[in-house]
Amino acid sequence: MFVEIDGLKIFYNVEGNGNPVILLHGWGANSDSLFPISNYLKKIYQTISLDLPGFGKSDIPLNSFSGDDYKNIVLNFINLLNLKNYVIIGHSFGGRIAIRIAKENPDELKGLILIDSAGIREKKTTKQKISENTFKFLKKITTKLFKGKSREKILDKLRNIFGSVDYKSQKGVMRDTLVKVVNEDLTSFLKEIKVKTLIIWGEKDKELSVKHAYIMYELIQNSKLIILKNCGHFPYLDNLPKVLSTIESFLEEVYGNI
Amino acid sequence: MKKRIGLFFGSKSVEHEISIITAMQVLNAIDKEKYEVVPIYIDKSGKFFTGDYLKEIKNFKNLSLIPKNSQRIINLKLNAKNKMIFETESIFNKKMEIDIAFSTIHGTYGEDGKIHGIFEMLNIPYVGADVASSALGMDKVLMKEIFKANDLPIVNHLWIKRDEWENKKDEIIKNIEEKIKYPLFVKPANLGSSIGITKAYDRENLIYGVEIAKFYDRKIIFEQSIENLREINCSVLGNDEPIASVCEEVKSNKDFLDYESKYKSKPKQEQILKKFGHTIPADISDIKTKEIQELAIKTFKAIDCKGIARIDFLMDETTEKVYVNEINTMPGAISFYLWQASGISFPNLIDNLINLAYEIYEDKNKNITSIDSDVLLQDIKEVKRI
Repeated sequence: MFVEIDGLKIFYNVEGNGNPVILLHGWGANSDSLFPISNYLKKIYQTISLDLPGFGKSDIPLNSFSGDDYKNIVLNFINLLNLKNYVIIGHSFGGRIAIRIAKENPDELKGLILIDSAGIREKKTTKQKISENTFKFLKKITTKLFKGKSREKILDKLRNIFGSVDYKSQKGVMRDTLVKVVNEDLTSFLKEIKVKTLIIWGEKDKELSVKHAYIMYELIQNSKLIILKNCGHFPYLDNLPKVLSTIESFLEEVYGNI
Repeated sequence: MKKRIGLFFGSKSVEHEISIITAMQVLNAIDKEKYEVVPIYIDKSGKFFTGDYLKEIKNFKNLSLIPKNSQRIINLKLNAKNKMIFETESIFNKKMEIDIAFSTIHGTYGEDGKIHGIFEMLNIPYVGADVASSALGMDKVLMKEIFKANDLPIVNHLWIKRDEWENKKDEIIKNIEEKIKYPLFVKPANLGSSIGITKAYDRENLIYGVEIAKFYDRKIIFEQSIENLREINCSVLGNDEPIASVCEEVKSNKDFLDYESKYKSKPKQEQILKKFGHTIPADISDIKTKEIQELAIKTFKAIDCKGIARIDFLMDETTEKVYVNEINTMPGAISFYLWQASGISFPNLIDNLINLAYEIYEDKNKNITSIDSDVLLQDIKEVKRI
């Protein structure tokens, strides 16, 4: 199904009946990515999975988006569908949006589930710093030595060598969006979240270190932390039964009190 | 560091070849960035072999070439770091270590818990069902007793030992005909797949069926056949809080899937599914799906299964009544296609199984297995011999 929000066509999928659970996917993914979770929850809940702007079947934003723009789109989407008593599950980049929404403490938000969530800006490692400086140096030389098309060609190659996987896989507006979004630090938002929160993290996450999980747990007042051994950035793919049983009992707890 | 997986397959089982196929599927699907696989092939006589030669399915076309091209394992033991070590027969006596065992053996000497006994004694983590649940999942007689005790719906059945057949044939036939109506199935109690199974429409078929089944096992089981049958399968994944996959419907042209139709003449999984009419997800109502998924989980828990299983159901097309037929603790192709349809790819399914294995292993090692006792220090004379 499609819905138009702020001039953008947004694709979404609703399944099952019951209290609504909104699933926000990670960077470069789409509404299918959290299917193992929604497919299970739809037996008891109404699951709403959407393609965030710039991903899947949804429109690409005209100008680069910030985290705040994403938050507004999702909040407008929730209002348009008139969702009440909802829970948001955010994975990675989707968690970043979920945190922004939860920070505003909307009345109808009853629970928040963050899975290996982005949001805390990490200090750069020495390796990253070296890589960045090398890129800057080579960029400088290239700009001095070459002109016109060949300059652009070489710069593009350099970006592809030194850019992150996410950066490389994106083009145009979404590249700028990525740069904007990853530089946003939401640490100060965490203290303002009042809703019941479940934090799930893969102990061996190489994208977002488990250290972030502890910080989030520390700063979000009403939070619970589950760290999954031997799991990476996608714990729901590495140990689905554990993730589902954890989510299920959290949702029972959330909706049991309503 | 990559985890080293010991992949056990083959073994003294009528499903030897199927096990080779499952093992090769796992080898192809497994994430090579995370794991290194050491193949451990057990031949039909029970000898263990290892080596890269055992990583390709084409090398299993001629089983007699295997001893020449691979290394015979002559010793299995533990090292100081609690890792399983293999010593091979080669001149250099190469020693290989593994971190975790993964058996894809179907049927006897594997799926029945026997190989799991080795893993337990050596105290290394292993994938899937443990000794007790494997044994219960393999013996159709014991399985049904457990199902009955847990109020799981099962079809009418009876069982005998083959010696009884020789001595009390007439009495047994009378008893069967009183309690179960024709057509009925005659099955060896301890076999996977459909090997040795006969569908009996009358007394003559029944006698013939027992004559076949008794070659395979000392226990023979007779089960009511459901006419207007629909076969629905569902996989379960997890340990103490398992989850159910989507359901599949298996359609066979014959009266039931025998060995030939189930496994032979179908090299690729996709072809198998197409040819034998697997419908995924099964075309049944949401309510029926939920009922079957709940029964599948209940069945899994009834035998205290671990890791993964496929539970096969019989559904009466007219009444829509569902019966639990059996649980397979090492299902063919590890039921990956059912999990694929549930959003978990084959490589991810393997990750799940390995993580679940570690969960059990760590949990088990919390158990107290020894207590300080001075019973042996007591005066031995006090022990009376009778």
